[in-house]
Amino acid sequence: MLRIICFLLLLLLPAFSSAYGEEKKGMEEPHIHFESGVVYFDVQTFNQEAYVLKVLGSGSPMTMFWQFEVLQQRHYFFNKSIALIRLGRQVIPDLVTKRWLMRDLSGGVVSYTTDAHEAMRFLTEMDHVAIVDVSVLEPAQDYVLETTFYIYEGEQEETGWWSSLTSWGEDMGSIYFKGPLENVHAQ
Amino acid sequence: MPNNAVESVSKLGFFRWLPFIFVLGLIGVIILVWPSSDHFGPVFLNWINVGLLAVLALGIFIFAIRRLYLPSPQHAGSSLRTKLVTAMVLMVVLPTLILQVTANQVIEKGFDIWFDVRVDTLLDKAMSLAQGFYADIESDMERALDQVADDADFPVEVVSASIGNFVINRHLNTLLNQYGWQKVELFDASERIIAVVQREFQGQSLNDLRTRAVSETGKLSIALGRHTIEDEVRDDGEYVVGYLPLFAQRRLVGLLRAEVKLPSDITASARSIEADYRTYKGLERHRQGIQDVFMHTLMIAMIIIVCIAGLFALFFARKLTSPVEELASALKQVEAGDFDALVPVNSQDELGSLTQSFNSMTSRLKFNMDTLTQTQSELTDALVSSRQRQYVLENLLANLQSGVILLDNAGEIRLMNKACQNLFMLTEEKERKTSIFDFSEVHLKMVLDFFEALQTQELDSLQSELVISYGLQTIKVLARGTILGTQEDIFSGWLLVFDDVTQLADAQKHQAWSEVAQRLAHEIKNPLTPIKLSTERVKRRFRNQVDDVAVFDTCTDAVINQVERLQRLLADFSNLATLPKPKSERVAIVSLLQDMRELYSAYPNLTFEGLPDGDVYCDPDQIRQVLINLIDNALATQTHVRVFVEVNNQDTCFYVQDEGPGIDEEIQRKVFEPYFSTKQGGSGLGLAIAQRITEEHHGQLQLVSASSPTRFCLRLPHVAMHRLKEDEV
Repeated sequence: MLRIICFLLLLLLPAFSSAYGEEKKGMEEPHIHFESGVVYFDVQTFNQEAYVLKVLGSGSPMTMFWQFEVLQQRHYFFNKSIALIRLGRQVIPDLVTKRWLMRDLSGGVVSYTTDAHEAMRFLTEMDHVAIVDVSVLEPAQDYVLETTFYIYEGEQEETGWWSSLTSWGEDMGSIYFKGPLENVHAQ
Repeated sequence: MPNNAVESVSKLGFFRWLPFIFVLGLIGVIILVWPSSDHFGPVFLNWINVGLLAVLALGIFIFAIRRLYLPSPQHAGSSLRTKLVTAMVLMVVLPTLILQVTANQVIEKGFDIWFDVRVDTLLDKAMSLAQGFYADIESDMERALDQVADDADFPVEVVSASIGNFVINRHLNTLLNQYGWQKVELFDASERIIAVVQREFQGQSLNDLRTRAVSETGKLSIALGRHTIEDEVRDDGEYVVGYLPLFAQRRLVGLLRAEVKLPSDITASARSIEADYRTYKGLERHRQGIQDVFMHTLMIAMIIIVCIAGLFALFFARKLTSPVEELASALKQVEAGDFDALVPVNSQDELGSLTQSFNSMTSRLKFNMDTLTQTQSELTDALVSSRQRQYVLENLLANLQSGVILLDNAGEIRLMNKACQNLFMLTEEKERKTSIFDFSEVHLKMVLDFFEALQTQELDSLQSELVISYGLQTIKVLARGTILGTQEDIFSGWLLVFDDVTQLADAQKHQAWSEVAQRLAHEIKNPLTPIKLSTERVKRRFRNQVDDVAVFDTCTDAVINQVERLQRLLADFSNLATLPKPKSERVAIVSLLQDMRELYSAYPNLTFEGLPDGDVYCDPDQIRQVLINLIDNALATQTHVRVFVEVNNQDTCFYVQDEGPGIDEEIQRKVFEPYFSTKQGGSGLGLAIAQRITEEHHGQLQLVSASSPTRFCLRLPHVAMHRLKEDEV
C-alpha cells in the first residue's frame, strides 16, 4: 500500500509542477530598476482583476498589502534579510454615488475615482515602488527580492500584520539581482 | 479446527487492512475540506477540520501499523470490547452521517431560496433607484451650473462689483431661489470667499455659516475650466456640491460653489439599500464559502461527537469487559493449573455474581486438586510399594519350583506361574486356560475335581495327592488349596499349590520295595538252602526204598526246582535292593550292540538296524542288562523285533520295537512297577530294575508306543558324556 502511494505521488508531483509552471508562465514579469541610487520595483497581480472588479462592483471594500523583502543570498546558510517593506492600499466603494475611495494606507493619501477599473488598478498594480537604497546593498553581492501580496475583502487596519498571520498570501516570485546595478534578471 | 483457523486468519487479514482503508477515506475528506484561496469567513474552521481529521488519521494509521507489524497477544475480552466500541460508534456515526447529509441538503436548499434571483433583482432595482436619486440631484446641479455658466454677465458682475456689494449677494440669492440650492458661495481666483448666500433652516447656528475650503474637486474644476460635482458626507447629512469656475475674457475671475442638501430620510434609505446590497452581494459572492462554513461546522461537530462517543464507548466497553477480561485471564490461569487466581468482585450485578461463582468454583477446585494431589501421592507411594511387592511376588513365583494357581471367586485364573504350566504340561499357548473349569477339557480334570472338593467342602485348606496322566507320562502331584480372604475383602478366591512328588513317591516306593526285598531275601533265602539240600538228600537216600520211583523223583525234583526258582527270585530281589552304582565309561554304540547281536544270534526274528557311530557314557554291563530285558520282553511276543538307535544333539535313544498286540491302558500304568508281570513265572522286577538302572544313568526308560508296534525307548543323555570329556581334559 505504501509503495502504491509513493508511486502515485511520484507520478503526480511532475504533473503538479508542470501545472504550476504553466500558471506562472502567463504572469507579467515583475522587474526592478535603479534610479538615483534607489531600487524601484514594478509589479502587478495576475488573474486578480476580475475578482477585484467584482468585489468592488458589489460595494465591498478591499484591502491589499504588498510585501517586499530583499534578501542577501548566502551559500551555506539561510539568506539574510536586508529590508522588509510592507505597503497597503485600500478601496472603499460608494455605490450610491458610484465613486470609489482609494486610500494609500502607507502614505495616508486619499482620492476618489468614478472609474472602477482605476480603483482596481490602484489595488493590483504597484508602479515605481521604492524598495531600498543602493547604499544598503554590497557591490557584486547576489540579492533576491521576494514579493508577496495579501488581498482581503473589507477594511483592514493599516499594517495588516494580523491579517498576514491568518493568511499565506500570494507569492509573486523572486527577482535575483546583483548589487548595486548589474545583471538584473527575473525568474 | 484447521478450517476454522484458516477462516479466522482470512478474516483477520481483511480487518488488518480496514484501518488503512479508513485512513485513506479520511485523507480524501482532508483534501476536500482543505482551505481554498477563495475562502470566506473564519478559515480556522477548515483548519480545525483538517487538524482533527489529520490527528484521527494519524492515530488510526499508527494503530494500524502497530497491529500490522507488532501483533499484540490477543487479550481476553478484547474482541468483545472491539465489537462493543464499533457498535456504539456505528450507532453514533450512522445517525450523524445521515444528519450531516440531511443538513447539507437543507443548507443547500436554504441557500437556493435565500439567494433567489428575485431578491437579486429587487436589490438591483432598489440600488438603481437610490443611484437614480443621487444622479438626478447631480443632474439638476449640472443643469443649473450650465445655465449659470451661460450667463455671461455674471462673471463681469463679479469682476466689477466691489467686496461687500449687495449686487452679488442679490444675484446669488436669486440663483439660490431659482435652483433650490441650500447654499451658494462665491470665491475669487485665489479661492478666497467673496459672497455667501445660505438658506435659513431650523436649528441653524453660526458654525453653519462658516465657509469650507475649496475641495480637490473644486480645484479640479478650476483646472479643467468646467463645472464639477461631488458628493460630500458631512455630520449633518449628505450634500451634492457643484463647482463652477467663472471666466471673464478667458480669465478666471471666480469660483461658484453650490450645495444641495439631500433629504436625510432618502439618503438614509439609500445608504441602507447600499449596505444591504453590499452585504447581499458579498454573501452571494461567498455563497459556496458560507455553505462550506456550515458544512465544516457540522463536520467538526460530527467529528467531535464521534470522538466523544468513541471515548465514551471505549470507557463503557472497558468498564463492561474488564470483569470479563479478568474472568478470562483468571480462567486461563486456572486452565494452566494456577488455582490461586481470584477475581475481585467490583459490582453486585450479573457479572459480580458470575465473578463470585467463579471464585467459589476456583476455591472448590483448589481444594479438590489439593485433595487429589495428596491422594495421588499416597496412591503413588502405595503403588510403588505394591509394585515392589508384586515384583518380589512375581520373582518368587517364577523361581518357585511349586506350581501356583490363584483363582478368584468365579474360578477365573488370576495367576499361574511358570512352574505350574510346566508341571501341568500347559506350555503351548493354545493350551493356556483362563478358568479352572476349562481344565476338564484337558488332562487336568483331577485338578478341577480337587478345586470343586475345596469349594464344596467349604474347608479353609485341603491337601490331596493327584495322579495326572498326559499321554504316556504319569506324574504324582501333591495339591494343596486354601481360601484367600473373605467376601468383604478387596479380593477373595483360592490359592492352589502343586508339587511334583513323582520322583519322591517313586523313590519312597523303591526304598520300600528294596527293604521288602532285602527282608524277604533274608528271611526266605536262609531256609531254602536246607530245604534244597534236604530234598536232595532225601532223594539220594530214599530213592531206592520207595515203591514208585517215578512219583518220588517227580516230587523231589519239583521241590528242588521250586526252591531253585525261589532262590533266583530272591537273587532278583537282592539285585533290586542292592543294585550297585554304575561304573560308567565311554562305550562305542556299535560294540555295545554287537555284543547283543552275538548274544541273540539264534533269534532270526530279531534285527539290529541303523547302528550309528558314536559313543555313550554308561556302565556297559548294566545297560546291556536293560537292553536284554527289553529284548527278552519283545521276543516273548514271538513277532518281529527291531532294535535301532537314534543319536540327536541331547541324547542317544535305543529303541526296541515288537509287533505284538500292544499293551492296554491298565497295564501301561503298572508296567514299570515292581512285581508286576504278565508272564507266567515272571518276577515282575525286570522293567523295574531296568528303570532303576536307567535312572542311575540320569536317563529315561519310556514306553513310547503302547499300541502295535509296541516300542520302548532307552534315552541316555550326552550330559554325562560331556562331563567325562571335561574330566579327561
